[in-house]
Amino acid sequence: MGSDRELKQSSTATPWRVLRVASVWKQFGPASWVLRDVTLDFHAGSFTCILGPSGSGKTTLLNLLAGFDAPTRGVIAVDDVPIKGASRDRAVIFQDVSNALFPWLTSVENVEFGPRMQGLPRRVSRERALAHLALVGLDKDCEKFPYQLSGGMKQRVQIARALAAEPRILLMDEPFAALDAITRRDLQEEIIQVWTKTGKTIVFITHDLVEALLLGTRVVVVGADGSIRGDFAVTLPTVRNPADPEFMRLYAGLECILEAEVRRAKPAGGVEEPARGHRSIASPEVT
Amino acid sequence: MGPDSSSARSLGTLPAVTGRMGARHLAMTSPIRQAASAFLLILLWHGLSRLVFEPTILPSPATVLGRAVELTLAGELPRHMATSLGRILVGYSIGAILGIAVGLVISCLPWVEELLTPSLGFIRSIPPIAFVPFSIILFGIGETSKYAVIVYLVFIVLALHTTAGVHETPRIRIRAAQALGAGGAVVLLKVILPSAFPFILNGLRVGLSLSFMAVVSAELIGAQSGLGYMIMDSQTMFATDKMLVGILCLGILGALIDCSANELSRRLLARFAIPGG
Repeated sequence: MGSDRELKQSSTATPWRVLRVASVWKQFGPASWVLRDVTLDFHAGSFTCILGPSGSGKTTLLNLLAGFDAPTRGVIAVDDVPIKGASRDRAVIFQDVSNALFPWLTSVENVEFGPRMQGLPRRVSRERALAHLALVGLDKDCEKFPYQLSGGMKQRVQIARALAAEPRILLMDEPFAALDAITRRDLQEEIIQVWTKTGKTIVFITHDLVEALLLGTRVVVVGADGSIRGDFAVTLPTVRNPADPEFMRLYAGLECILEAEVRRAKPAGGVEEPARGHRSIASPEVT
Repeated sequence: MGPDSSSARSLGTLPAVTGRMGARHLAMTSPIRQAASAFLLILLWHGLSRLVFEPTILPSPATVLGRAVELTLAGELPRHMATSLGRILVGYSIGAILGIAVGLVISCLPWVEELLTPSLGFIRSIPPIAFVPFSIILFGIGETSKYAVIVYLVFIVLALHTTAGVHETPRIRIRAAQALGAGGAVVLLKVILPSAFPFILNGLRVGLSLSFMAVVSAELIGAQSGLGYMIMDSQTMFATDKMLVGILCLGILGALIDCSANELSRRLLARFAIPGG
């Protein structure tokens, strides 16, 4: 396809090295820290899965990365330039796709929103939108409205819309959590293809351990108290098999940490554990 | 029919099927039902005028129909109707545009909104007819005082509906637009306004039927033309047949306006593919 060349070109247009989260703390209201001293580097072209129990501040971290919200302390910067508000540099893909899409626009009109915002002429925007819809296999449904599409197709439209804005970084907030198992599997394969074809940097939030290991080149675990509990490099091939011994080894290690975190998130008998008590459990793992 | 099919759209695939079937069921029986209902009303009216009241007090349906034809041919009825509709058109348009604009602006300024909304809600609860004498004192006996009553009513309804619609805009939709490079004004016009559209449309519908009520109120007091005036004038002349022509005209016009507004909003919502509304 001619569109493939176009997609590759666009992603290499703006070279950059690293999205850096440096000692970030985030507080909502007095004495409620959602993120504690988070330091992470996201390198260009990486696919990082951020894993954690619900309520662990994963989405808060993503909102900070997107620029929807500012950290209480610490800095988030791309190549040492602190981010200021939302930007088309960092496209976001939300779980609640019905609300994220513009329901009054067709698929192709949704996707060309980004290019139009960049001031591209209508014809160019349309071409770019169609190329990205083709990338996610929706070129036949480009004139349909979101309500005429299934949940999986809507999520594909959202992915195409994010890509058409030509961001450096794709931020995905549990994008497949609301889909059925088969559709989810399809889209997981799809996003790997998107990643290999476009070379985008992806930060992918999930609470699903298998999903994290199927997708990421790296898995970061956020603890129940909002601190980083583990940071694993995943050296498996792009197409993965859950029966692979290395996959299973990583799974077992991560499961241990996650289980401890889930237990910490819901302390038995309603007694709140001291927030920083178990810090030592996490650190000995692989980096 | 209108509300049925629009709610069907909001409920996704499965309920939509039953909703559509329900609508078809209604559509098949409703003309028969409507005809039967109208026939019953006319029969009752005829019986009352024959058996209970004097014909001068309650003329028979046939007399009123004859009078309606007479008034139409003489041009009097069309003239009054045109006057009333013209007032609605002017007052409603001004009120709607002002209401939507002010609604959008105040919903972007939380403190202004907090300050204004309770007062708007309070004024909204006052029946429009109570404002007619006051409007005449403020704006005189001419057209302005009639427009003013309609404008004020429609304005408040639309300002309230618009702010409600703005607040119903999903936050992630706004964020999605921002992450695609949209700035403040673009978000307002291309994301928030269309998201609020079903609410605004509903406000436009409510405002239209209210402006219909308001124009009649305004014409009953201190007017020289319009359907309301015609009814009031018939009272002083003791021409009950003419009065009934006026009343029935209002009923038919109101129903027609309501029906077409419902149909139009249904089509617009379908075109905009927005669930609910």
